[in-house]
Amino acid sequence: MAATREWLSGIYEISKIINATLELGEILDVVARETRRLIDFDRLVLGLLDDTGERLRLLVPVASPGTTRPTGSLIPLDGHVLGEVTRTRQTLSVADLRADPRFPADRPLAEEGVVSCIALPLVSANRILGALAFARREPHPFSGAEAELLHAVAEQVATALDHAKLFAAERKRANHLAIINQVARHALATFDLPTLLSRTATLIQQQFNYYDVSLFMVDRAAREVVLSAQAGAYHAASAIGYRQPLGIGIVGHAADACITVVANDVAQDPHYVVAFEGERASKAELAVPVKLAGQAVGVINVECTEVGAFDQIDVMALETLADLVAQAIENARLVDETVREKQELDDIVSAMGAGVALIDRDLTILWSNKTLNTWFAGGRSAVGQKCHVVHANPAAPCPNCMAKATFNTGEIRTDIQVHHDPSRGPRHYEHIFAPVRDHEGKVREIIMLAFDVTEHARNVEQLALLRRLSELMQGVVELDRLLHLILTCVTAGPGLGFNRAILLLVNDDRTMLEGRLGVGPASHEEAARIWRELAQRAQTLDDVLALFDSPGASTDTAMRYLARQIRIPLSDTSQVPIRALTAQRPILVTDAYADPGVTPHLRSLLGARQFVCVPLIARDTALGAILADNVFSNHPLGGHEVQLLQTYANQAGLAISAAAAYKRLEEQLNELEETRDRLVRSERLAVVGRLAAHVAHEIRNPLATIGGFTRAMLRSPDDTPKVERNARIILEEVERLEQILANVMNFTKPGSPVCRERDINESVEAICAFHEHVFAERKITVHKSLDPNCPILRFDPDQMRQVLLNLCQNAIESMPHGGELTVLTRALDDRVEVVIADTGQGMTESVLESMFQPFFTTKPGGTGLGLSVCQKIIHDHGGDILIRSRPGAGSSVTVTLPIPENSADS
Amino acid sequence: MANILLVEDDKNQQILFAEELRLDGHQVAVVGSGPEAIQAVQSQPPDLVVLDVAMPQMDGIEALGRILAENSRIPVILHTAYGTYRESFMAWAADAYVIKSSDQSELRAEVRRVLANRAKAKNP
Repeated sequence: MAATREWLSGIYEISKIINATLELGEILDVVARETRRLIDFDRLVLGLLDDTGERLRLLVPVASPGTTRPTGSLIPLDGHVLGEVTRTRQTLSVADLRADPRFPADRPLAEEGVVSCIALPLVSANRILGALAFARREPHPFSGAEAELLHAVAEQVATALDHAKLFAAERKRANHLAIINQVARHALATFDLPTLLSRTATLIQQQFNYYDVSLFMVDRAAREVVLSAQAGAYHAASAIGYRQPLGIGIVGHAADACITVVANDVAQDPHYVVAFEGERASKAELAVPVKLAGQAVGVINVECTEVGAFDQIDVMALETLADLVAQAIENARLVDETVREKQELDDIVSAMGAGVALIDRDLTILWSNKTLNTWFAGGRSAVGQKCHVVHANPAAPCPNCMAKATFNTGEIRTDIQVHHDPSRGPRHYEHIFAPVRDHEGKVREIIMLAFDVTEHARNVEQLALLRRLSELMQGVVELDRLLHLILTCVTAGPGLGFNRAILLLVNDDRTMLEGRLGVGPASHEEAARIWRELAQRAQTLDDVLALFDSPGASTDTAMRYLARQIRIPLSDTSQVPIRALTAQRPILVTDAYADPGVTPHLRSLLGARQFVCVPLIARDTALGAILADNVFSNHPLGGHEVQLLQTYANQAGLAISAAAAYKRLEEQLNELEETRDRLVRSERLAVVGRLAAHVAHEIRNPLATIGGFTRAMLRSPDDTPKVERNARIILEEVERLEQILANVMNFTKPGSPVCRERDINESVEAICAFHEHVFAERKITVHKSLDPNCPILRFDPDQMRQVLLNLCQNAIESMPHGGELTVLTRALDDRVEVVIADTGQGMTESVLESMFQPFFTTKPGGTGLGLSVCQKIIHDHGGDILIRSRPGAGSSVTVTLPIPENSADS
Repeated sequence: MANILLVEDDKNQQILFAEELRLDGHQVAVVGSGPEAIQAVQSQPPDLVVLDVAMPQMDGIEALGRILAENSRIPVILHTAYGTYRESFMAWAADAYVIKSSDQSELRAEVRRVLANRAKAKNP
């Protein structure tokens, strides 16, 4: 009885304590401790039925662990005492395990001190939870009374267990939820997939305390799973990136079939494969597919060293986690895609080399890309600044703001502007302004693209300059001016890439190459000043040339002086300029300090590290060379610059040789002119000589007559009739002499007509009047017909009188026995004709042919000068003289005179 | 003393030269052109011809040729204002070349000389 009371109080104690705790481990410890007070035993073990209902998970108190069956071991129901009791729900007492044939599986326990035992079912709410067993080292079976006590204990334990189990389940759930939350938070916090997977694996492993957690991603193309994250025991053993075929192993199977695989005892699972040695420690495996759109994109795989470690709650938790991971993967992929797309876009835009900006109606920059910032804002963000502030003109919008134009018209606009980067010099940018329309179609913003077209602009400039140069050179034949022009074009404008140029020419002896001319700034300051000037004033090519192309411009003095100090003997073929000359090819010196072809003298004169030397060739003759450098802008000299300079030099060489040829030509022309002048002079002399001879002859005759008759008079002064006759004859001859003199003077005088506006009819009338008495004497009838419509003409009245006189006299003289003289004037559309016709003896054809030749005369005593002088006079007036004649019938002379442009009718 | 044919187209000079030559006692016949001279030589050969060069229609040189062709033995004196033919007169087989001047004494002297030479040639 006393024992019973003790026992009851003991049970009460147990129950109190048990119910105070929900920890299974604690429960067992308390049970062991308190029961030991009442009953003597050595071992206590608890077996809990697992979810499958076919196995028992064993628990032993911490204080007395067994080696064979530690906490967590799983045993089947068959062959074990605990299993039997669980199955039968009946208490069972075994006197000696070693001898009992029913429990072969328990026999080995005897060595650990489990010989006789009693096992009690744990039943709560009519459910079998498992069994509780007490064991003794000695074969000393438990009594009935002990059995009853223990049975009561078992009842308590069962109840407590139930609670604890529930609690444990709940807590597990709670844990799972907490972990899921944590994982979710982490998952959503990162888009970096590898980090996410790694963190997830680590969290799961830590929180659930699994043996090993691995995350695999599915590579559909390769039909493999790839280990992407790992936490736990196998971390050291396997590497990220390890691959396994789909369908192989539990993981492969889960991935392939897209189902959760629970292998609570891997040894039993048909899919199980051992991937590597260390994996043998794992006893239970759970593989949950990460599903996206119905397909497994990955697998969360957890392994445990206990058989039966995974229950439904674990599965659910991991499946929830798998969904989270799926979502996170998708998010990460989307973000990745977006980032990549953005990067690609950035890359494309960067590769385009374009600056991009978004500009609003106030011309404020809302967004700008890196390139634009670098080009225009010194690397800082251009956002918030005005478009024009950032670009060409500060303070005010550009005069023809294309951005505004795009806003106003809604059409794409372009422009080109020059932007001055202090470090790189002027750059040319082409801008495209494109409207961005909102859903109503209104233009709220514009996109501006900026392309650096400096190279292109430079090329265009260079081509234009080349063309202009050849145009200009064609017009310049002065050698010095041409040379200066050539050098100016090489250096003009920073767009050409040359700051300075020096011209060397081969001297006349062809022994030396001498510097003739130099063009370019003398210092950095000057160079910068010139660039600024250019930017402000020189917008076109011609502006640039106007700024620079004046020999003796102040910028040239220093360079010219420098150039003149260069003298290189042609024989020194080691020097770069001579080499360029003889090989007729350009040479680029990249380091003047290291190049043996550059003498110290030249190097110190130029002071540039890099320079180009191109030969000036014309028709295979080396005329000289051009040296050019970029000592101020430091724009590097490459093949392109050399090519350009050589092209210039070729043109320049041709121009120079053309100028030289022109000069020679000029000289020859001058010589020719001189020769011609001499010829003309000598011809004139010849004419004069002929004239002189003729005049001498003409004068001699009258002189002989005058002299002879005078002597006769002196011989016989009293012979009055003879004296009178002689005197008369003398007078006649004297008059003849005067006439000859007059003719001669008329012929030798230049005789340019001094024109007045006169009426030709008046002149004709005058001549007729003059000869009136002669007409009467010679019995000549005059028919006069003067056209009243004759306009006022322009002629020299004296010369015209001379002509008409001459013609009239000829006509009179041709009719010594009288005849008819016709004098008429005729006004036509563009001319006036004066006709003097006679009925005299006429002239033969041969005479007609020679009529106008000087000294040709048919008249006795005629000078032969009259008609040639007349012809000259008429030709000087722009008119013509024409004679028609028939021997025996008469002659007709027609003088044609032009009508002046604005003439009034008379 | 001789019969001289004067060929001269200038009227005044015809009077002058004829008078001057007559001072020396010569008979002077005057014609005014080349063709007339040839005719005169044919019809009445003179002892001497004084021949002007510058004449219209037929100049003195042509006339000289024709006269000599007609009668190669007649002495001819070219009497001209041209100074340039002097070098050539020998080629034309004239006997003398006198440039007309204000003093006819040279003419008269040449006439005398030529006549004397011819006389000598005739009568060695």
